[in-house]
Amino acid sequence: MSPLGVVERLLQLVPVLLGISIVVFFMMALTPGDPVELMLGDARATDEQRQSLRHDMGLDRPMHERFLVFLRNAATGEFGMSFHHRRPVRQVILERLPATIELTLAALVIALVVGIGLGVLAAVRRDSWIDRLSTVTALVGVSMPGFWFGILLILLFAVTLGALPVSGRIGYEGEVPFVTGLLLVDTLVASKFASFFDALRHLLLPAVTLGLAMAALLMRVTRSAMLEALAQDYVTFAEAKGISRARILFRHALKNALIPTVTVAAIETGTLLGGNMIVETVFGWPGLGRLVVEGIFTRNYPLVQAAVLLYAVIYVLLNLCADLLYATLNPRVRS
Amino acid sequence: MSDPALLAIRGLRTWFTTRQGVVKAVDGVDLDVLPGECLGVVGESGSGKTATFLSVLGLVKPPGRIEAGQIIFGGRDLAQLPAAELRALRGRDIAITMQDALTALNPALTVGEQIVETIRAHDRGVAGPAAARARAVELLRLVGMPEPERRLGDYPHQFSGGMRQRVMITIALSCRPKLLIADEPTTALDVTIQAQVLDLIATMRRQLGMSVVLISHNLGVVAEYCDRVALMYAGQVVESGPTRAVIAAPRHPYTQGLLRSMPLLSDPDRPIRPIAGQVPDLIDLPEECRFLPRCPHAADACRHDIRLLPAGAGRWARCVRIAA
Ligand SMILES: Nc1ncnc2c1ncn2[C@@H]1O[C@H](COP(=O)(O)OP(=O)(O)OP(=O)(O)O)[C@@H](O)[C@H]1O
Ligand SMILES: [Mg+2]
Repeated sequence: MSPLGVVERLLQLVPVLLGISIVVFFMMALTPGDPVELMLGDARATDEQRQSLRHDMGLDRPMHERFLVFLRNAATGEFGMSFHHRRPVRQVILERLPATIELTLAALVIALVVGIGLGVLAAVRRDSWIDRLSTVTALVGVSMPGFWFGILLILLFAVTLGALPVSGRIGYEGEVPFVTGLLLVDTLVASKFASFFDALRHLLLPAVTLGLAMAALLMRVTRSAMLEALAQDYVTFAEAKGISRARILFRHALKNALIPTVTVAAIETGTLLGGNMIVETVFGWPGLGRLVVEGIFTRNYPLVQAAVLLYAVIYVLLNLCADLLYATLNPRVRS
Repeated sequence: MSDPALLAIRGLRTWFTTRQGVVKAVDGVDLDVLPGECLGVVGESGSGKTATFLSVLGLVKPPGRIEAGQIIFGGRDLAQLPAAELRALRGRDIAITMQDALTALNPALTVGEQIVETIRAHDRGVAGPAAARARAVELLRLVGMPEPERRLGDYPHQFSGGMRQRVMITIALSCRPKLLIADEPTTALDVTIQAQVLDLIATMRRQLGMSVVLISHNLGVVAEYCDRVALMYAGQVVESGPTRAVIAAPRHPYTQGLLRSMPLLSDPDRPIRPIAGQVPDLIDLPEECRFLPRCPHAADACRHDIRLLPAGAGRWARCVRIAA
C-alpha cells in the first residue's frame, strides 16, 4: 500500500469515529439509570445537593447540547471529568491502559505461538492423532466462553494446586517505578527479577484465558492454509530441487500460509480487546476493560464514551495494520 | 534395449486410489533414456507422461503410489531408495522443469532465492551465499535473461511467461544434472518463444552433455528436437524407437492414427483424419490392448495383455501384429 493509501485510510477513520460517537453517546444517554442517584447511593442528599451535582456533571443541559459538548471534547481528546473518580477521564484511562496492553500482548503472543505452531504441526502430520487432538482442542477453544474457562483455570491452578495467584498484576512487595507501565518490562529495567517472575505468574492465567479462542482460530486457519500450500505445484517443484524438508515447510509453504493467518491475527487482536472486559473482571486485572465495565454499571458517561472511542480507533488501526501486513507478505499485491 | 541406459524404467505401475476406483495412470511402462540423448515422450492429455516422470523422482503424492516396477539409475533402483538418498539425487543428478512455470515457482519468494537455495542444497556448503549468488547470475545470463543481477530480486509474477520458463530451466540446470526432464516446456508460450526455449534446452544439452526427456503433445516438436521417441497411450508405452524411423513407418495403429491426424508441411492438402473414439477410462481397465476399442485392426488376438515387442532396429511396439 502506498503512503497515500495509508493517509486515505486514516481519513476514512473520521466518518467512522463520528458514527461511533453518535451511537455511543445515545446508547449511554438512553440507557435507564441515573448517574447522580447511583453516585449518591443511599446517602440522604437534599434536592439542592442533587441539583448541584447534576449541574456539575452537565446533566441538567438538554440532550443535543450535551452531544455537541461531547463532540467538541472528543475532537480535542478531552473528555471531561470521570463522574466516579472526579479526575480527568484521560488521566484515568491512561493509568489503566498499560495493564490492558500488557495483557493483550501476552495473549497475542500465546495465540500466535500456540496457534501457528499447532496449525503447522497438524498440517504436517495430517490425520494423525496430533492432528485430531488439536482439531478437537481448537473446537473446544473456540466454543468455550472465556469467563468459564478462566474460572476453571483459577479453580485448578490457583485454588486446588495453589501454584498461581488468583488475581491482580503483582504482589504488594513487588512494586517498581513506572517506566513503560508494562510490569514485565519495568521490573527488568529495575533489575528486580523476583518481581518479574511474580508479574509473570500473575499474567499467565488471564493471558491464557484471553488468548485461547484466538489460538484456536489461528490454529484452524494455519492448518488449512498450510495444507493448501503443501498441495501446490511449487512445493512439488521445491521437492524436485532436492532442498531440505525443513526449508520446504518453513520457507516455501509457511511463507504462503502466513498470508491469511497474519491477516486474521491482526483483525482478531481487536476481538481480544473486547475479551479483555470479561477476563479482566474475572481475574481482577486492573486494566481498561474492567474500568469500562465498572463505568457502565455506574453510568459514568464520559469514561465509557472515551473508552469506546479509543477501542474504535484501535480497531480501525488494526484493520489498517492487517492490510499493510497482507501487502508486505504478498509480493503480488505489493507491486 | 541393449545399450547401457542412463535411466531404465521397467514395468512401472503408478496408481491413484480414488473414491471412484483405482486410476491406473501408469500401468506397465518400459522406457530407456540413453546417455546424452534427447528422448521425446508423446501422448494425449492424461496418458500418464507426467505421472511416469514424477514417479522417477519419487514425487507422486497420495492418493498416488508406485505399485510395482523398477527405476534403474546409476545402478540403483530409485523405487527402493531411502528418502534421504533420493533427495540428494533430485536436482543434482535428475532435474525437472514442470508443466506450468507460473505455479511451479513460489509466488512468495524471489527467483534469486529459489535459484540460490538449489545451488546451496547440493554443494554441501562449499559455496557461501555470495558465491551461490554469483553462480545464479551467471546461469541466468547463460539462459538469456537480460539484467540478471537486478532480476534476482524480482518475484515470479514480475516475469513474462518465456522468462519464467527460463528461470525454471536455470533452476533445473543449476547443479549440472545428468538428466533433465522437461515436462511440456512450451505449452503455455507463443510460437516464437517456444522455439527459443526449445533451442535453449538443446544448446544446454550439448554444453552439459546431459540427457533430456522432452515431454510433449506435439509430435512435430519431438521430430525436430529428439533422437528417439516414445508414444504413450492410456498409461503404457505403445511404441518407441528412433524418431525418424517411427515417423516414417509407424508400427502401432495408435502412432499411425496420430500421424494421420496431423497436418503435414510437405503435403498440406492431405486430408486430416482424427482417431475415432475416445481415450479409455483409466479405472477398471480390462486385461487387453488399451487401444482395442479404437483400432481399425482389432481382432480376437488383441483380447489379452499385450507386451512391448521388438519391432526392428532399436524399435518396439505394443501390438500383436508385430509378432505375426
Ligand atoms: N492426484 C490424482 N488423483 C487421481 N488421479 C490422478 C491424480 N493425478 C493424476 N491422475 C490421473 O492420472 C492420469 C495421468 O495423468 P498425467 O498428469 O500423468 O497425464 P499427462 O500425460 O501428463 O497429461 P497432460 O498432457 O495433460 O499433462 C490422468 O488420467 C489423471 O486423471
Ligand atoms: Mg502432464
